[in-house]
Amino acid sequence: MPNPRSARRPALPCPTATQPPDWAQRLDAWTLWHQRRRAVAEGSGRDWGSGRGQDFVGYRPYRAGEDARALDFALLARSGRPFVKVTRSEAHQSVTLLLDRSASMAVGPPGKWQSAVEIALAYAYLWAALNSEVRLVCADGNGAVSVRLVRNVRDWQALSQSLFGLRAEGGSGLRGALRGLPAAQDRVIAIGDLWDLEPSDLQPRLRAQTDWTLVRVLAPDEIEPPADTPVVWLDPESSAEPLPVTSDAQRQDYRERLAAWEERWRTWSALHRVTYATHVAGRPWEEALRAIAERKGGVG
Amino acid sequence: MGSGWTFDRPWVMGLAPLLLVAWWWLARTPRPVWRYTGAYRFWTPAGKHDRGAARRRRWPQPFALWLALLALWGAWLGPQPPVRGAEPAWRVLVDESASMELPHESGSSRGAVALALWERERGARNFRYERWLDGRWVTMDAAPPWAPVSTPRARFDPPQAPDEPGVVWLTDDAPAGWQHGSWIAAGGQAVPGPVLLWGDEQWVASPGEPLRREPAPTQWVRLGSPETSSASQGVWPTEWQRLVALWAAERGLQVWEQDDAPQDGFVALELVVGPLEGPLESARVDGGGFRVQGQRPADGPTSAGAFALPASQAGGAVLAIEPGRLRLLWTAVEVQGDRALWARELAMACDAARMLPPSVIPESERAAARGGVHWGSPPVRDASHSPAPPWTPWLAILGALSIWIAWPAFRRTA
Repeated sequence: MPNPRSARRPALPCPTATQPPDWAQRLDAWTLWHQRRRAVAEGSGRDWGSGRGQDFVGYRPYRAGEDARALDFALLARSGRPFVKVTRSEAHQSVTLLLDRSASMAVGPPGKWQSAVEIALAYAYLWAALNSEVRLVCADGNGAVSVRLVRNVRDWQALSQSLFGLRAEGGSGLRGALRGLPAAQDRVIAIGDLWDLEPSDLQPRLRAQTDWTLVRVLAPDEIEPPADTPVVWLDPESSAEPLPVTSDAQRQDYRERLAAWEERWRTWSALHRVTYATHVAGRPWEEALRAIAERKGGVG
Repeated sequence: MGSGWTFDRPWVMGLAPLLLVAWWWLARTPRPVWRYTGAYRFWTPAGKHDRGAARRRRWPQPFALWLALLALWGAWLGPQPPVRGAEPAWRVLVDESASMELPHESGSSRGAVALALWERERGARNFRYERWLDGRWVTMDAAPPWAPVSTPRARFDPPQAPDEPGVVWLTDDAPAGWQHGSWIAAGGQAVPGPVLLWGDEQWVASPGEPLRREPAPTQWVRLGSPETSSASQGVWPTEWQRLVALWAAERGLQVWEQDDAPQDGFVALELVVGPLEGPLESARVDGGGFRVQGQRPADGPTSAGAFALPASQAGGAVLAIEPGRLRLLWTAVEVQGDRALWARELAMACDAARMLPPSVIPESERAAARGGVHWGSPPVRDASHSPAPPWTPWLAILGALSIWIAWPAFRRTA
C-alpha cells in the first residue's frame, strides 16, 4: 500500500456525464407514462399533490371502484352521500431544480453526477412539456450560482447540451445552489447526495405552497462499502488524510452512522411533508422518478 | 586457512529462499484500493474504536504465520547445525627416502618433480607438511626440501605413509591398493648405480643387465673429529680405537687417525666423545659377561639416540649410535670380564652407526617408479574440537512444538 503521506491522490473517477444512447426514447416513454398516470388521476378525481397548485372545479358522485381516499369526507358527513372533488392541475407551474454539482457527485463508478444529470433533465423535460417554467440552479466550483431557464424544448436541448459537458467539482453543492433558489416556487426538486446539508438548512426555505422533493443520489459504495477488498477512502472535497479500512468494526460503525443520518432525514421529511427518495447511481433514473410519482399520487 | 562457521551440507542453504517464497505466498493480501466517498466523515479511523484493529495493522499477518515460519526455520536449522572451527588440514607426508634424490628424466630430481606436481594440484586446500623424524611424523613449518636435521645429514628412510583420509603421500612411486589416502608420485625411469657395498667392492645394477662388481670408492673410519677436541672431556680408550680399526679393516674401510691430514672419500663412521656436561658420577654397566665402569654425567645421556649398552641392561647408556657417528658418553671407562663379548658389542654398534655412501642406494629404490595423482577422502573433521552447538536439540524441539501449535491456527486462517 502506498504511503498515504506521499502518494498522489487519484483523479475523481466520474466527474462528467454523457448522454445515454437511448436518451430520447426513454424521455418520451417517461413523459408518456406520466401523462397516462395524470389522465387516470384526473378522471378518477384524485387530488394530486395535496391541493398545491390545483384548481377546484366542483364535485361529482363517487363511482364504485374508485380510490376511497378521493372522497370528500366533510361533504359525506354533511350530506350522507359520497362525492369526490374534481380538480384541474395548473398548466403553468414554477419549478426549480437544485442540482448538486460538488466534487462528491463525481464519486463512482457508477457516477452519481451522471444519475443526477439524467434525473434533472428528465424533470426539466417533463415540466417543460407541461408548459411550466423550469429553472435549473447549481453552484460551480467557486461557489458562483448559475440559473438556466427552460420554457420549451429548445431551451431544454440547450440545457441538456450544457449539462452533459459540465464537470462535478468544487465544494459548494446544494448549499451553494440554495442561494439561488427564487422565492415562491410551486415545486422545488433538490437532486444531489445531500452530504453538505442538514435538515435545518432547508427548514427556513419551506413554504406551505411549495412542493419539496429531495432526490438523494448515492454511489453503491456509499450505501454498502466493499467488505472483501481492503479500501483506503479519500474525501473528494478536501485534502483529508486517506483513511484505510482494516476491520469489520469500522464498516459496522459506518453503517450505523449512515443509517442514523438517513433516518434523521426521513423523519424530518415526513414531518414537513417533503418527498424524500434515495436513488442508487447506475440504476435507471425512471425507477426513482416513478417511485416519487407514485408516492405523490401520480405526479412527480 | 579458513575459519569461522561452516555447514556440513551447504546445499541445504539453497532451500532458504523457499522459506521466503512460502512466507510471501502465505502472507500475501490483496492490495487496498483507493476510492473517493462523499460519506468520508462517517468513517472513523481503526485505532479510535478498535484497538485490536490497530494491533492487527502493525501485525498484518496472522500470528500463526510467524509461528509457522519459526517452525520451518527450527526444523531446518535443528538437524543441520553450523559447525564451528577451521577446516581440517591435509597432512602432506614427504617421502625422504634415497629414491627421491635420484635424477628424473625431466632433468631435476624425483623429489623436485613430486613437489612441483603437488604445487600444481593442491588448489586451495588447507595443509601442513610432515617428515619422518625420530620414529614419528613431525609437522614442519617450512616447505621441503628441508634443512638437514643433523651433520652429517641422516637418511631417515620413512615407512610408507598410512592410508588414511586427509593424508597426501608425496613420493616418487605410487602406492598400490590405497582406498582412503591420497598420493602424488613423481614416477621416473630406473636409475642405474651401486646398490650394495661389500668390503671394498660395490655391486652396480643396470636395467636389463645382471649386477656387476666394481671397486668401491674409498670409505673412511675417522677415529677422532674436531668436535672431540673442542667439547669433550675425554678421549676414546686406545684399546677401543684398536677394536674399531679392526672392524674397519674387516669391512674394507680405511682408518683415518685423528691427526692425519684431510682425506678424500666418504667418512662412513667417526668416533666422538661427549659432550660431558655437569657433575660426573661413577657408574657401572653389566653386559652379561663383561662389565663397563667409569664416570658418567649425573643428569643422564645428552645425545639423541643414546642407548644402554647392552640394550637389555639398565644403568645408563655408554655409547650413543648416531648416523655416521659413535658417541662415547662416559669417561675414564674400563672394561672388565670377557673382553671378546665386549668387542662383539662394539662391532655391532659400529655396524649400526656406519653410513653408506649416498650413491649406494638399494635396488628397490633405483627401480622404475610409477607416477600420477590420486585424491582420496578429505580429512575428517574432528568432532571433539568442533561440537554441535548445545542449542541444536532445543531448536528441534521448538520447531516441532511450533508446528504443533501453529497448524490449527494456520488452518483457520487459511
